[in-house]
Amino acid sequence: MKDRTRPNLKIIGNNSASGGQYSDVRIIGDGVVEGDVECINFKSVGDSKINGSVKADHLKTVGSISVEGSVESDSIAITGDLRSTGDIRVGDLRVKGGIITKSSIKGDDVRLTGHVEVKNNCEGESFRSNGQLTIGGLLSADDIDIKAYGRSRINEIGGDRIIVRKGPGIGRVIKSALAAAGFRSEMLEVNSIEGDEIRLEYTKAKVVRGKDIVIDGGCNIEIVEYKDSLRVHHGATVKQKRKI
Amino acid sequence: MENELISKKDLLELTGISYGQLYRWKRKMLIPEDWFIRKSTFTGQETFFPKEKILVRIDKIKDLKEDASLDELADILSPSPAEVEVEKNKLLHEKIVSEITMDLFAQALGLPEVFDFQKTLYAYLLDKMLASGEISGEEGKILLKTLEEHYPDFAGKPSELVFIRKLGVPLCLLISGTGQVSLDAGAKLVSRINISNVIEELKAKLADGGIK
Repeated sequence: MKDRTRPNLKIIGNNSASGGQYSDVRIIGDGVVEGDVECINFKSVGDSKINGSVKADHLKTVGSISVEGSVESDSIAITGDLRSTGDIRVGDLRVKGGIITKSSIKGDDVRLTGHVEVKNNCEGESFRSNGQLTIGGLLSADDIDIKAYGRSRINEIGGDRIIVRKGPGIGRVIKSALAAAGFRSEMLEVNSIEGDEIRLEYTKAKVVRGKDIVIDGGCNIEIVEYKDSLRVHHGATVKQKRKI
Repeated sequence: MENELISKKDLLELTGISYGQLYRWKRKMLIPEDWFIRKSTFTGQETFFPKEKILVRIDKIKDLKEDASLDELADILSPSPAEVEVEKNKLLHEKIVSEITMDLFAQALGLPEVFDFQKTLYAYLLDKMLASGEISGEEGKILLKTLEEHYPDFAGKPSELVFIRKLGVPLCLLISGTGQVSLDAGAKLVSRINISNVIEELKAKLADGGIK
């Protein structure tokens, strides 16, 4: 996509244009693109809607972008929110705000802050998130670092190193008092977690399997299966422990 | 046993690989998604694998990863065609394709100087079906022509080859994905082959024969 002879597309104000192959695409205001877009740089400020798929070397949005199709890019940076109906395939993904896809995310370096909703799988080499997460399928990466806020829910997590931390919310004292009273307001709920090094905090899981596992405060785990080591913090509940 | 399953736990124990590696290989599509079989057990959901296939695959990955990157490995193991050029004699010599198949191939599509991957695949598929006695030589030609004409549209995607006979009349179908096929009562499903599996098999054979 190094063809600089292709035209640029600029949408300013409340306007629409048709898709196609462009060099640079710039949308300022309320832009609609009808059809698939392929370009080198895609930049939008405001509210843009693409009725088709987007393929760009670099995609940058301040505001919101909604794509009726898939998104493919070497790097995506969003301040605001990104919605897509199709897969998001990306090298570096940086989102501050929200990302919602009715399909999957496949990236290398994924860093998300804010609200995340993925209907199917979310994959990366490295995955970091800070916010509320809902992942309907498998979250898989070598390195997973989650700071979960609110009610987060992930079906399965698998990887090498997995860390789940509680996001800052109400203070720890009130928190534990609430938890003791049966309120579980902030917690990550997962069916199964499998990894080599696992460290969990405020996580509710059916099964956790791994080599070296640390279960910290606020956890409620039904079964832990570990190979080398297991440490359970006194503020955590583990119903069954099994060394294999 | 062909259909024996192995649990993920036992697999890791047996092969000495880690969860991290397994998930990494899954992400790189070195292990096909449909090998991950979920079953309910008394400890909740567990994942199982077709034992023979996964053990062979993991051996292969371990073996190859010394000198190839994971991405290169993905190319070798993926269902999309490899870049291969083989001479006819080599195919015969490595017993990938029999003489009879080669003759039929020559009659149906002409005999190329070198076989690229797709042509090798067609010949190999025909060879398999002839060897199993499911189809006759004449029917084999129909098969080859169907493949030659339509398989390029399916290349790289999971697809199935279905061979049907009704009142002695053969019918050859190519289907994308692995859908369900229902036939009327008078028709007989002669053969149904998952092409992706055959591609893997063929790639392995080519690799063993030192061709790729």
